[in-house]
Amino acid sequence: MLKKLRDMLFVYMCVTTCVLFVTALYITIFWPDVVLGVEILWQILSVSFLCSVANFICPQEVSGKIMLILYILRYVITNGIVLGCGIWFGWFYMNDLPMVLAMLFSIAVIFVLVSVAVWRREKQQAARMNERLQVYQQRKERIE
Amino acid sequence: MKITIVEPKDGEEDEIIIRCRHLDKRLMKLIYSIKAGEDKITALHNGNYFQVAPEEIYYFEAVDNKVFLYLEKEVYETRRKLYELEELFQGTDFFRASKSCIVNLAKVKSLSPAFHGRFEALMKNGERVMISRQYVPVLKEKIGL
Repeated sequence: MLKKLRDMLFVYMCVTTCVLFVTALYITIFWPDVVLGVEILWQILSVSFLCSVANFICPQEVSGKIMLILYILRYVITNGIVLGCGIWFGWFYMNDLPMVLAMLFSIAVIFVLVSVAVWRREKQQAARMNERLQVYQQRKERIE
Repeated sequence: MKITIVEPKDGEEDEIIIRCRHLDKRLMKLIYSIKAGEDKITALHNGNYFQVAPEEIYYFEAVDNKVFLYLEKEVYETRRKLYELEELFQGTDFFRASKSCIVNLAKVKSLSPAFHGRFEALMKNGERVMISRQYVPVLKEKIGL
């Protein structure tokens, strides 16, 4: 449970950081003159939280094929969350194509960045595990 | 070495307690033989029954209510259930890797991430076994992480 919470916090941290950068860029391009209130910070935090939670919708044991389907599904859900919240919070207009495209592009970039960060973290974990595995097996060989 | 046999009280489980200053090679060998040596698995292969030593087994896998044990090249079938094998090999090199698999850690060559908290074990015979997210903590504890 603690491990899952730690993993979730890691994803949340990555998502929030990326969203913050993309939001800054998005506001600079599409809303340069707007005066924003503190609510934008809560909006960013809540959307990032929802996206992070969606990232953890996954059964414990699934085959590689189902994992891929879930991965695509997660991407679709993330798009739904961000676009839905975006309309709700008035981040963009549905009839403004450049805005919608910018949102879709941002979601894709963040999704890839977070996936890469998670992958790198798991790779580091695997490296540590391999080191310990070697120690374990050498110790066992010495005993035998 | 002094050997003392104490009869357990009613309701108490049989237990072996080793009192020593440090676990040396001789003692570890003794522990290993107690844990694993007597637990040879009766397995079916090409219509004949064999006794297979645990150290020869790479992993156990349950497929369609049957349990198979994978050696370096051969695959044997056993009548034992996966949970029985898990209990039998508790405290040895074997660990539960998924709902359908028990892996011999001594036969794992390397581990690699398999996305979303899962890991893939590359066995020394070249086969790959998935370690589900649920059982990764078990593995980590076993290797001292």
